[in-house]
Amino acid sequence: MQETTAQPAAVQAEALTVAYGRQAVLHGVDLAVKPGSITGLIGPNGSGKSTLLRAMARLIPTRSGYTRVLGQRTDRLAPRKLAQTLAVMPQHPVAPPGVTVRELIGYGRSPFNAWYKPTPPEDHALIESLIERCDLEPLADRLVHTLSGGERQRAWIAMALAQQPRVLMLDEPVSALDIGHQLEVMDLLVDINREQGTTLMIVLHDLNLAARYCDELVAMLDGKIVDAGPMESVLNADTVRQCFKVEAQFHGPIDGHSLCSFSRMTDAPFR
Amino acid sequence: MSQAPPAERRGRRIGPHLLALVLLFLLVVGGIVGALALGSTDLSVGEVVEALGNREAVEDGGGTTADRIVWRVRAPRAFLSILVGLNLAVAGVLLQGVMRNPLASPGIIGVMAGAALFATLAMLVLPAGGLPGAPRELHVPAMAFLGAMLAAAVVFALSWQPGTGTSPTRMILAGVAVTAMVGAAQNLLSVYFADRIAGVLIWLAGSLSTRGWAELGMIWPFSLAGLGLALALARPLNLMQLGEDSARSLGVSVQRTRMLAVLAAALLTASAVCVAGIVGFVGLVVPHIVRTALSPNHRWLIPASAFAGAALVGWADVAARQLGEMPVGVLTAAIGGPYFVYLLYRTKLI
Repeated sequence: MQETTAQPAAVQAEALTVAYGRQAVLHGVDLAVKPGSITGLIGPNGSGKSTLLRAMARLIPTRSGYTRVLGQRTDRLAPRKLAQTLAVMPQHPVAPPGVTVRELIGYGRSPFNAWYKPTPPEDHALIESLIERCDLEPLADRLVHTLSGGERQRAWIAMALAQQPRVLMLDEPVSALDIGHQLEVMDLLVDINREQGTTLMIVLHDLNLAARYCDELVAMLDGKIVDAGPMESVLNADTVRQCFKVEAQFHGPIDGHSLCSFSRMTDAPFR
Repeated sequence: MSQAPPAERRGRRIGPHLLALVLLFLLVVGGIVGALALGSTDLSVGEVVEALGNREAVEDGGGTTADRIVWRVRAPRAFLSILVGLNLAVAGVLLQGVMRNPLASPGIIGVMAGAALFATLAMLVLPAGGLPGAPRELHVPAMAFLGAMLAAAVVFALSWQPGTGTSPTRMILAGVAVTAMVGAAQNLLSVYFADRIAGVLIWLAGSLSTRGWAELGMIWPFSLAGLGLALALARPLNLMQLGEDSARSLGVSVQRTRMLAVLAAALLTASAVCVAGIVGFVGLVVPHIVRTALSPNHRWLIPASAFAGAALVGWADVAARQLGEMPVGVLTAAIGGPYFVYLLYRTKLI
């Protein structure tokens, strides 16, 4: 999306190229994410949206180009410093045995405290408030590996929020959930965005969820950005056809949100 | 909020852990006392206490028989046995934690095989004059230490990929390859020097017989460095259990943690096997017992495993001496093997 104001981007990629072995999966991507926005990354499987998110969070090494968080080059930041502004919820969080929900949320404070010091009291207060905020009260002393999918996502979001991040990146946070839990988790994320101004960058598969929740969208295909900008301008039949090889029909707005339905293009080759 | 205050909640969790640590520590102390009192000549606790006060007399070449037995033979061996157990158990915790693999053990990074090969070289091939600058009795341990560290370095280097660094799978595979190659060299030496292999076999079985203060003086600084590093890595190791991505997003330098954990594990294992030979299963089994029985949190897991490993090898060496100098490595494997089968059965890994 083109930045027209002087306000610096929350997260930014400049000519970002990422490769696994010899195969490049991102080709010189430029992106600036508006501070305070909910920005959705959409695109077919293998289009590089997950890779872009992971590279911008410095979870994977980049081949060339830079990423910035709040104007600062991430490759010049110590991992701990970066973790104080940017939190990530990975696509497949691993639930370690023997860790309670409360302990897991407490892990979110580790970038701020030296390992040899006891947890300060204000951190305990923050952890308790996040347990309440994410509706985890009855689960606080449960072991995380015993939680259901939706509960687990909420626990991980609470851990990420314990980092008090300015930017929160989520890689398909609701793809494995039923529709009720999808809306529950997405509503929680929107509330956090509205309350705290946290910039959210979310990889989404469901275009209806993207239409319903995102302010901005980034559409990707083959390791490049096809279109980026306000949700209404990106989510159109042309972009959907180009990215997903399907025809989209837009209905609505129904209940304040536009809805899309899809049909396969009859002459489209199998991908 | 209507919940119990956090302090109370933390108190509930810390209490039993602290108690377990104290009990394990007492078990270690008991092992030392047992090692000093029991043997071919059984001494009473009173005699042991009296002998402990007569150090100067022994150093001046005097003292009673009991004084000399305690100071010259049993005390260094008691401390060596607990140090060996501590080292192997903590090395096991580190490697299982950093590889996120329950089957990881100190042998996995090639240190055991490297130590064995270089010890064999020292015993069979190198001239009897020893290493320049090393006392005669440290000839074999110094070579074994060198071999162990060298093997670990080769495994780490082979598993390294430019750009991405190491991964647990690559490290394990490199460890398997290096162990196989070093084992082949070991077999070759055994065949060429078949007539002189008896001493090597005794060393490989793992024994603390005839070890003394010199060996203890050689390994304690490495053990201390390894243990200190391990304790400092407790938090990153906890965070690594969330998976690489989560650990990174919480500010952990994953590659640095891996490198330091492998370095600490190599130092600990090398200093254990170079004096005791191959003492099996301690590094594999002790972390498992402590993890299931006490806590998977490395802040407790590391010190508790250290004490548990120390107590196990300390008492096993007392028993080994009672059983006519049975190699202590045979005994720990005899205890550890069946327990491990039970563990596999219970966790349904097979």
